Amino acid sequence: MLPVAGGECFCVWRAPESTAQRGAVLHLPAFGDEMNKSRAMTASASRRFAMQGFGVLTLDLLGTGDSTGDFGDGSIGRWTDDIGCALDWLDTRTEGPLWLWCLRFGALLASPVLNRTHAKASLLLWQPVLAGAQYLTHLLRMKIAGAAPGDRQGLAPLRQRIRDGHSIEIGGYGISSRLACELEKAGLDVAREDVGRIRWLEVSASAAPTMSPAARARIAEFDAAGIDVTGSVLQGPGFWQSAEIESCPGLIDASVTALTSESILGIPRDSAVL
Amino acid sequence: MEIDREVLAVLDDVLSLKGRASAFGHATPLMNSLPELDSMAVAAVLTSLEERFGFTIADDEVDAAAFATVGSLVAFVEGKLETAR
Repeated sequence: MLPVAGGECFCVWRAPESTAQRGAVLHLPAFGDEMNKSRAMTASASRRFAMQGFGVLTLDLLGTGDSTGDFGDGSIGRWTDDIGCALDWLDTRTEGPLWLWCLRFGALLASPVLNRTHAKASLLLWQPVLAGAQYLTHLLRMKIAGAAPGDRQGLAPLRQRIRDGHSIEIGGYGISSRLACELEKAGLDVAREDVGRIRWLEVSASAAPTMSPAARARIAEFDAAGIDVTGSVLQGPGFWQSAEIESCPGLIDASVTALTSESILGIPRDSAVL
Repeated sequence: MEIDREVLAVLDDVLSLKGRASAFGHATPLMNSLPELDSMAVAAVLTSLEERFGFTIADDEVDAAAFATVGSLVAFVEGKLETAR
């Protein structure tokens, strides 16, 4: 348990299992049900990364899993602070390049975390959510679909309730008005000076998978901004949303390749403070 | 054809069809024929389409008719991409 402001954050630390330390990996998790469905995958990936010589830290955000606090008090600001404490902890125990390994919603935490730390980190993205507003719409739709047919409201009245300062409950998670408003503005926006490399991995069930048009467009933007970015797509199940728990070993293999092929040329963490 | 493939991939992913969608054609009925396609799944399909294509689907833009067949869903996506252009 890592002490954080007003509580304790449950973390799992996997020390590098090889004498040559290759760097540190901090996992920024998916949201709600997607996080629960991804637990098996993130645990196996963590073990693999540790076997390759990375120190890997995964954590439960405030109000989720075994961390203290009420989910209704969770916000991007609060979670960013907690992740900052985790990064400070990592900083004293690891050396080499730092990777933020973001799954789905976790990608929306990347830019506030990079802004807070002043450390240069690279991003390993797994099927990242690109726009918080779109993700909020997804959550609201889930709420509408989960309601009894007679009680179904439209998206607009739900949005109004949030803007009026009410929290709403979706699939057992109480989403505060503050979190919803933060989501409306959140995006995967990173500046070249804050980020090392971006390795973007997507998963698709298609027999001939292609990168999503939305990802291709964003990757082109990052590239135009001078960021070292590559994207690839693998065939596999959408384990974060599937009805049954699934895994996608190919995604872990591709991640190991992405992490290890870069570590030799890794960017020192303090190079952003020049 | 690319849109067909994208739509089938989304259906396969979201509904956990394990490759069954690859046998679907435009005439394949969806709503009321595919037991996996409940209201939760419809919501998840809409989200996946938004994420993949980067457009936004408003409440009043989509109704059950769009989910009648694979072909109607593909036509809906094509219409969205057309207006986004």
